[in-house]
Amino acid sequence: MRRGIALDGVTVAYGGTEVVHDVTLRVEEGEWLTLIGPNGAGKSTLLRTIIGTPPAAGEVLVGGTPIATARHRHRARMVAYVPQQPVFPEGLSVFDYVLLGRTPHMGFLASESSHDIGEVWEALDVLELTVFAGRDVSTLSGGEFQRVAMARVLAQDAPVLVLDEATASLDVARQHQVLELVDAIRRDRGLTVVAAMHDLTAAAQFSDRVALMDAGAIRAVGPPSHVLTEHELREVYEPSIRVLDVDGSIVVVSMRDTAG
Amino acid sequence: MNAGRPESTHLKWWWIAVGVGLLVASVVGAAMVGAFPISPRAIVASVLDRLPFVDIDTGLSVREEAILWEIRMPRIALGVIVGSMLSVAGSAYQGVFRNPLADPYLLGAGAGAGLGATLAIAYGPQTTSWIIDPLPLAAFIGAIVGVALAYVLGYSVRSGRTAVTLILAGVAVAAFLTAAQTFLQQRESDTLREVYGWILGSLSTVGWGDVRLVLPYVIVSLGVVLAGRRLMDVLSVGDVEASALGISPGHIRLTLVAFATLGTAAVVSVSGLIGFVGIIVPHTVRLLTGASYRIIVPLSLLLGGAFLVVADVIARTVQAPFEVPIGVVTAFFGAPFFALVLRRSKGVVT
Repeated sequence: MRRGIALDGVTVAYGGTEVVHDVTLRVEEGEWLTLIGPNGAGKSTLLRTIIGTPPAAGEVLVGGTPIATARHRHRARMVAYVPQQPVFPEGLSVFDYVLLGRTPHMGFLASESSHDIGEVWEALDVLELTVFAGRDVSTLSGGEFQRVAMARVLAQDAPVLVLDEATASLDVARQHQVLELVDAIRRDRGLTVVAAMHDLTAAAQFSDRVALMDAGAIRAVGPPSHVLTEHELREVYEPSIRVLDVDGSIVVVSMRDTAG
Repeated sequence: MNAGRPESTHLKWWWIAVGVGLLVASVVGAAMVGAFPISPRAIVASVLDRLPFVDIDTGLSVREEAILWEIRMPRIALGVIVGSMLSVAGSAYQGVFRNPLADPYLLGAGAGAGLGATLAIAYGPQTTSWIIDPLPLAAFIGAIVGVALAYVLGYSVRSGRTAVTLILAGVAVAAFLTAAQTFLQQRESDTLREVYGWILGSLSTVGWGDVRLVLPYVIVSLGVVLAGRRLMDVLSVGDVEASALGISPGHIRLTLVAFATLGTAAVVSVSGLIGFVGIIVPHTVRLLTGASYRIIVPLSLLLGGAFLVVADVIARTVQAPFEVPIGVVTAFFGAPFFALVLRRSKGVVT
């Protein structure tokens, strides 16, 4: 569990309503686990308990450390997070934006060191963004945008990566590219990835395990072939879901009812 | 090691050089202008002459020396201090609230200082009967109390304690304090002119006393905001992501607002409510250099000082021997600029 995650009896309530209910889950070091489930199932909230906001009842351990009592800086050295819609501050250059990823490694009031600057250039290199360094982040396209967000995550250099629908706004090809990239970096650096995804086919292709959430609780967790079954998915989504096998890969589609 | 790569946004030495150059030029220019013109050569010589171990014949008479060092220089020094402080505080407020239209008076510092000053003018003891002048003291306390009230109100909101709730609390507090101030001002109408004059702001001083009074607060305040400028960049991605990047947004915001307010309260107490400086200067820097506070804050410091010194020259010469309130000058140039910023900004970022 050196870089793994352990959630024990995690419950989150907003104004008396439980959004996440008594979730217990383990994510092993180096594993990619994807949370799936309909809108409002509690995926985003559960992901955010791993970065410590909002505070949750129960226990969240990252690399054996309780996240609730860890200092902000320490948390950020362990977990990097990309939200559904990252904020791209108007006027900030790509370089300065990626440099924000170095925040947990800098002294509180210190400036960036040459090591920090080197790490930023390296992250930009890996994602082939060097030529964008001086560009205003708010002028980037959706695909460039996601790569810059990934560069910031790389610069943060944390062993655990939390992605909340990080590719939802991309076209099919771009989504695939970004997920391949995340997977390559995960293998290269031994990262643990916890993601939330709506695209069940992509979830099946990239995840070691998936966890199906519904109404704040985990219904099923296991390898994609065990969880992504018509039986499970129809209970949670809708009866028209079909799970197909295309060349050995799982493809999940929702079929229109044309019989009537 | 990254030679040949595109330039990253660092504080480039020539920006600093340009800022320092403008500041020095404004100071020398302002020292030249007045009823008794003094040559720039004599000003530079006189400044150097005052350095230890330097002895230069300035060519100035005793009377000219007195005009330069007892009348013009204290006023110029105060202009630099007030202009730098308001500009840096403005950039800090814009950074922590992620709102390009925030200024140092946003959370009630201006309204609080106005109420304090009105109380002191209307009901305070005669200046001569106190060891310290009650007017700046009352304005200083008023500014601090105004912002503290906004903070308490903003943080009493049960859920969603964000920058937006704080701004709304500040709006409520400022409206209330301004109402109280206007009421008092109308009731004690014989002091109307004095109150009004104070609110519009002035850098007229009685020598170096005011400079010595505010300088310690301003140095501490500028020091903290300068040190926190990188953290303002982190705040620009919003509270959730900033927190995930390892900072505590609430604590950073409180610290920066507290120290920006301390410096603002100090300068407001001696200069009155000089408006627009805190918006014009950081935005000019932003338009020229981009949105990183690592650059906006130090350059605002240099350009803010230069801007207010120039504004003060206009204020005291355009209708000489009468003085136009400096707040009128800054607003006259500031309001059109403000409109331009409004047109350029995509709306208030929250």
